[in-house]
Amino acid sequence: MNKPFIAELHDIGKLSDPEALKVAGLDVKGHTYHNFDFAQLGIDKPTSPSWWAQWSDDRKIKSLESRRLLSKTNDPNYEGNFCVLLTKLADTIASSTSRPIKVEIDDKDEEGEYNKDRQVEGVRLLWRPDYYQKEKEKGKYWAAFSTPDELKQMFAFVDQCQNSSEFFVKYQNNLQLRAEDISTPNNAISLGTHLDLTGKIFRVLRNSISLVDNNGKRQLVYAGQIALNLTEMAGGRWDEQLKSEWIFRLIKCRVSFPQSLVRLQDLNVLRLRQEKIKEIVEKQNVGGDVERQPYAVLFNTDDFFSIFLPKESILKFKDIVKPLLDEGFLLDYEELEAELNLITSTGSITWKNLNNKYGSREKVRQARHFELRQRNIGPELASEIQPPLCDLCQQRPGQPWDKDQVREWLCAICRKIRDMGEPAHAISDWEMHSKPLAWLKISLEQDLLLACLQRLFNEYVEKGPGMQRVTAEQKDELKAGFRPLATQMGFVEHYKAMLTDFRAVLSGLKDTSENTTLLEQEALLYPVQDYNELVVVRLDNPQRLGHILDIFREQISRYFPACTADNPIRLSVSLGNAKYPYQEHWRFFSEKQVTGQVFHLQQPGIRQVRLTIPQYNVLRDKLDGTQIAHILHRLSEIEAEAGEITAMVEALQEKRLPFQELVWQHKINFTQILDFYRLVTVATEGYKPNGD
Amino acid sequence: MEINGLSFFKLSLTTQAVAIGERIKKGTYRPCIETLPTSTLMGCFKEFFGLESVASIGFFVKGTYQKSLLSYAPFDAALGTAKLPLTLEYLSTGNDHKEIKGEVYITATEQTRAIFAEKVVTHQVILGAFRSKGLGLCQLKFERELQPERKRGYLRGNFRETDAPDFGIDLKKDIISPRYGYLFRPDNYRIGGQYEKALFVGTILEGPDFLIGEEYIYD
Repeated sequence: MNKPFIAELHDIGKLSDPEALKVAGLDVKGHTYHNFDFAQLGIDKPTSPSWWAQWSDDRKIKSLESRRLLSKTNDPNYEGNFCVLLTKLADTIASSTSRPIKVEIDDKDEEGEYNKDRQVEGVRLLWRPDYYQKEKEKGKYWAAFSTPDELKQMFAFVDQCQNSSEFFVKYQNNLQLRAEDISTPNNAISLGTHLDLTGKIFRVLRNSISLVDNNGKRQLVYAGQIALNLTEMAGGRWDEQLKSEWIFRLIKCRVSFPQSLVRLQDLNVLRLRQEKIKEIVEKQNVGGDVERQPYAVLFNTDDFFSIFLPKESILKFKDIVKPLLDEGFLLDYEELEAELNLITSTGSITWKNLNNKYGSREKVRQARHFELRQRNIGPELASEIQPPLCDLCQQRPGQPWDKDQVREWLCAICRKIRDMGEPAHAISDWEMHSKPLAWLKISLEQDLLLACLQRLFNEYVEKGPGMQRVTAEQKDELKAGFRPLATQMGFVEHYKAMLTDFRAVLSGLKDTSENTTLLEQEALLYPVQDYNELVVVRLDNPQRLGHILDIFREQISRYFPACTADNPIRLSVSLGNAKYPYQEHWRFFSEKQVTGQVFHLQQPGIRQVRLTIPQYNVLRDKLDGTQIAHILHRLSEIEAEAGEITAMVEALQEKRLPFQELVWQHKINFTQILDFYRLVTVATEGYKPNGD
Repeated sequence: MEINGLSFFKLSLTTQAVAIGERIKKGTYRPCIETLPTSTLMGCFKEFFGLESVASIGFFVKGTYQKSLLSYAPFDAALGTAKLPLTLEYLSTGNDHKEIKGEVYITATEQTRAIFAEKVVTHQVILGAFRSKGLGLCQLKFERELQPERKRGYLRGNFRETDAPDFGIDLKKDIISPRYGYLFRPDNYRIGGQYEKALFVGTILEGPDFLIGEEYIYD
């Protein structure tokens, strides 16, 4: 084959609009074009092997005996046909890990007519249900091929496309707006995310599985195990009996570092972590083979990645993460080793389901292959170290490192991190301003995300269009069968987009005279160049912090409007002067994240406030105005002098302050009300460099 | 399942303020941990009771303490100048508790029985850093003798690998997933010593139940 096989193109037809093409006079059936009459367009069918992927939707392609796969080994289509089968398998696994696939819903009404209530135009993202409508209002549309000419372009693209990236770049908008399956509740996954997942799984399968001719009999071999059809390759879902011997893995890995951040240069560890994760992502495509990759990083953030890979005897996880281990990073990971159809990013739920189904762990092991492990790994360490120990990581022997007449003891890795440069030099220049700084850290907690996605899916199953026709029993099956991998990938993409957007909005803030108020390096600093989760802002005026928090609230509401109660994203803000110890900010940022508490604010050692989005909204709304500010100022003084109880009694008597509403209706305690007021106003007024 | 032949004394610990450092000897900020590692306790028991190499480990009771900061500007008497100020993190009483509570486990031997169990009295010891500033004054009192059950889960303290056998732990068989760090072991003269590889909070292992926090159910 001269041209590559690109599995993602098997669903390119889903970007065509059959109704519009029919109106234009073409005879089009469904979204696959393997039976299309090309004479209608006056062209020949594509010759690229990627074209054959159209057959992956053919229900007959389930065994090696299917017509498409009967070619001889010397047939030039031999490898291509094998790829079609693997595409079918990858497509099934991508669906299986991302949504319920076993629930059959009858869409015929009482008269036996096909009911299209569940078919909805465009993707309906769980966390952002209005996404498609908003994009459509901007003039975007899910279909890329609505006219005969555009359809010709599609066939030409299939013939010319050299790799999946070309496809994703060229049709990015359409792929994001088209649902993989247009029926509720499956339309929660965009076609782009589904194909990204399918392509990655395909390339790992292609790299790991061989098609062999055994005395004229076709066999698929993986790790010494032979399979003759898709069922033998993939096994069944958790509620089925079908077992497969073909074992693959999904690993969810958090990357942390042991260093205490003492000097600004130590922030380079964030850059190093980012670079090393990127290195692992790039290494999967090493060699430039567009059809094969040894493992697939399904998605990643700057401190987390999810990876699909074959069993340990074929590829060692430690070898993949070596770039991180060599630099002293610590990895906490959850490894699911299972039959292909049991792979899920919520392994603990399937673990419980299987235990309940089979009655005991031992019986599960007899019936299925499903092993879940939690592990920590780090660099190799010596059994003894003669002092001194490295001051920062405390993992290796330290050597003297002198600066400003202060001697520190650093190991080779921590020294290297220091030598990576001055990442936030502007902060030392800010010392002369005697203004407080706000350190902002945005984070996404993956376990909270999984819980949030399940809750959103459950709600969608209950309330989605056409779902009133679905029985309660089927709804329960849908909820139990949900697997969040693809939605998790989609959410992470939107999270990254929100971070970029937040940075752009902060950098573009203007005052009433149209002057930029937060010039990067002058009053706004992203200490690590491409690391959008960490921001430092100089609070030159008392309104600035509140303003920034409002911008963040707007971004969250725009990108994740359905996650008001249980948003897995958090904004931590720690105030301090330019000299305040950075590790104290970092320690605050590292505190365990609690569901829904999006705003996490502190003036170190003095006050901390944790608020949900509704609580933040009501405080910003109700504590606005000069009169209220006067009351709160007075209450703060009373609290400082006479204690909390006396101040509370005073607050109860103050009718202009909606104290009871805040406390009883919104569950915000009195101290949090006063502390929030102090943090967003008083804390930045007349700020003392020592932070007290 | 009981761990054959192993017996421990559980001691209650109370204090007003204590700083168990993360061994950062330099730098201007000194964080504090929330457990009592074997290195700290074994050094203390050697100092106050003359106990040599008797395994012990301890934990503070959550909710009875909070983290506070102490700023301190050391004075260089030789030069007559102040050094860079230090910020020290320490545990202080919190959440309406008048004292920080902790629990200490120590191997039951004839020697430890004679000190702690035969006559129940309150022992006063000093633990951790900044003793000269009044931190670390602790009261220890015998609570009970126990034969721990074997349990699998996440380690909730820190102990040196060389102390593992004293806790009935086989490093080859019982460690499911280690999280390593280093703890200090002073030499016989107490002016030097070395850092030894240690198992830290978060290690997944099988061992005596008092060492285990959250249970590990997988594998």
